[in-house]
Amino acid sequence: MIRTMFRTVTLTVLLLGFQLVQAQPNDNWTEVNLAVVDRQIIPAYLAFAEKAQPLASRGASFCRSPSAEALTAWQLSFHVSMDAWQGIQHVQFGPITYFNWNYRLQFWPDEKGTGERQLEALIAEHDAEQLSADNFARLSVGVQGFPALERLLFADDALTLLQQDPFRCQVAQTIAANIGEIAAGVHERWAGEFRTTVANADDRAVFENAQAATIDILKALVEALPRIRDQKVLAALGASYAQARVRRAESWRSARSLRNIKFNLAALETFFSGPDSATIALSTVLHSEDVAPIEAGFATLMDTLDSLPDAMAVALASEEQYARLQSLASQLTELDDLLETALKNTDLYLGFNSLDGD
Amino acid sequence: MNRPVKPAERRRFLSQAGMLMLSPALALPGQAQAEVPVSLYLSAATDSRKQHWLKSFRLRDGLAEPAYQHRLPTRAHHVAADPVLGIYIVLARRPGTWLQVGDLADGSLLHELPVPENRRFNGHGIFAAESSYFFTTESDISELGADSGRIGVWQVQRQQDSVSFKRVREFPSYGLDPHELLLLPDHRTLVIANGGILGSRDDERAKLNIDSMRPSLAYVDSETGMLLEQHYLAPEFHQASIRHLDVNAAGEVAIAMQFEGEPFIAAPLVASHRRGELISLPAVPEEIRVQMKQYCGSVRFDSSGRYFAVSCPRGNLITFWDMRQGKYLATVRSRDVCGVCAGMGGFVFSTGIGRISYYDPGTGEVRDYGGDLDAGLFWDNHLTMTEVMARI
Repeated sequence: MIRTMFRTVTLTVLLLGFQLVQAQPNDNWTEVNLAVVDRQIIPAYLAFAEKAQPLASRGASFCRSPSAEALTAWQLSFHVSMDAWQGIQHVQFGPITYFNWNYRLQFWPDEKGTGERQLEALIAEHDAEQLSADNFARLSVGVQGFPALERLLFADDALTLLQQDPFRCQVAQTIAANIGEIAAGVHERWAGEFRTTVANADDRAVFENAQAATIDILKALVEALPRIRDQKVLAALGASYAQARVRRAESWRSARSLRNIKFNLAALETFFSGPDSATIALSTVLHSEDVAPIEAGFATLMDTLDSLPDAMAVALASEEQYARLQSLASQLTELDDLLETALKNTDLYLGFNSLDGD
Repeated sequence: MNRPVKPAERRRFLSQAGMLMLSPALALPGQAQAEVPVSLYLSAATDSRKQHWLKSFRLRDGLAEPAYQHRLPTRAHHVAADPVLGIYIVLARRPGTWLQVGDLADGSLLHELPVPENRRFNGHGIFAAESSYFFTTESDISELGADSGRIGVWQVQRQQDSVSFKRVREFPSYGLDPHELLLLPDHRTLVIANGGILGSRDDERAKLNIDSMRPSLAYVDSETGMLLEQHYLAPEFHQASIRHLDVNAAGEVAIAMQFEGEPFIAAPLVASHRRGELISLPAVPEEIRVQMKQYCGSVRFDSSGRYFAVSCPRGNLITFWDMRQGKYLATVRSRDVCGVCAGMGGFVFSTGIGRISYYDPGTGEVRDYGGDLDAGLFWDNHLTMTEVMARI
């Protein structure tokens, strides 16, 4: 009896000692926020803006002399821009929400095929007025961004269609320029003003306080995972292998649906763990014991993605790969669960009324 | 038959029914403790263990002091309070299957009743006809469709320690998915927000008719159930679900909406209405409209009836408007803010992260209330203020 008590006391002392060496979560919100903004968000938007600039000039070259080589060069520029966009797509607060920029860059998923209808109607009209920068920005979001440009550059007979109809080429060129302008605009607003807003979040101008800005940053991470799973993976997988539908995947025409997810997850992992050991990571707002399982979850996902091709059509060609995509979906769920649990162990509430109101 | 409650009558009932025991220690030594009316705030809430509560509190000396709490079967929505009868009624969240009647003085449960067969409560209700009737918004789930909105009419009688609560009839809401309803100052006309969203019998939070929904604002005679007047938004905004309302003493209605269409459409989210006119859409600065994230959660006038507040939990902000001038005034940032009501000459609002705050529309001052309320408490969508007699 006494021995048992002694053991209990010893154990308690040991446990208390253990708890004391555990680092407390970082609550220097502004420090964390600025580390994420300065080392990740602004550089990622800058990269996107830089990569998106040649889209328009490559388009201009192609439309002047529409050769197969020039189209390949333009398509390559599309891929490079899309890689960069997928690396910052998860950020859904701040300047990207201005002027419908997020929807104008990428109106997707488009279940009703609205974008296709509007794009074909715009081309059929042959009205050059519509393509002036002022007018074009006001057209439907369905004709303005990546999905519309992809349709024009990666259709089976893209080269022929673009060669036959110079107006079609002009539309594609206008979309390319529009993407470049939006990318530059988002970066400019972040670097020029929104960084200051985050740095002074406690003044209640846009955020209630600095912690509210941290919550928006965390939401960018936490909400991206189920969105990737549901929209980018499960929608294409369908209910069974026989019912898989590649056309429900993102960027299926340019054969890069899974490549997008690779860029998403790489960006999210860095978003969470930080770009290097010298930078304060977003993960420090969690209890340290909750961080390692999340990092392991990212590593598992990256391994699975490494074993998959870039194109959803290729992955869906075998049942074995289909099974791997199913694992990808469940690993996304597991990582999301780990993050949700880790957040529950802190005072950081992502929302209650905002999640499912009435 | 309807008339306003006379002050003398009100005081009599208050002293009989709504006596609240609060902090007697604060009375001066030797002084008899007198009862005075105090403001009591009520709201549904959920704690970090996912338990659901009816909670009440008072605001004093910069603190939100808990008064009482009462455990609820599932998540609730709106709380209606009646100081004359000394009761509150808390309604289950849509699709609701229960309604509870409790004692306003100590929170204790007096009566719980299940929703009638083939009906679901939509979360809101209102006392009428000198507190002898209670009206609830409901959906008829036996034939969910364009006319499945119902208004349930309940007769309420308070005896000493019990309350009798029985359904006497129902009439149509003249639409589907009726959500909030209120009584106009004539004490007879109901104004009903028909949200217009079709649920499914299996998953009643599903939305099945987003392409064809047609919300409306309906004025209905509470005695005859006859439709008096009905208004719709312009066809291009048919996806703006009219869900929450408030009415001021002049009978003007403030409206808060939730837009179910594409997120990039510049949809109206706040509106106002005067009987006999069209629904009016006050202008809002574009940068604020965008931040409202197509979703408003609650709307309330201040006690003057001139200003109203509209909360936007998805946008983490609460906006303030001037009814008289029909214009937007100001925005306050507050994470997950939803519950709001008139209080202390301004607005009191609650958040899904446990905050209680106050805003003065005259000075623009914002005050956050600390106190003993749990930090891990999620205040639900609506906040109600009522007056009770208490010794202070």
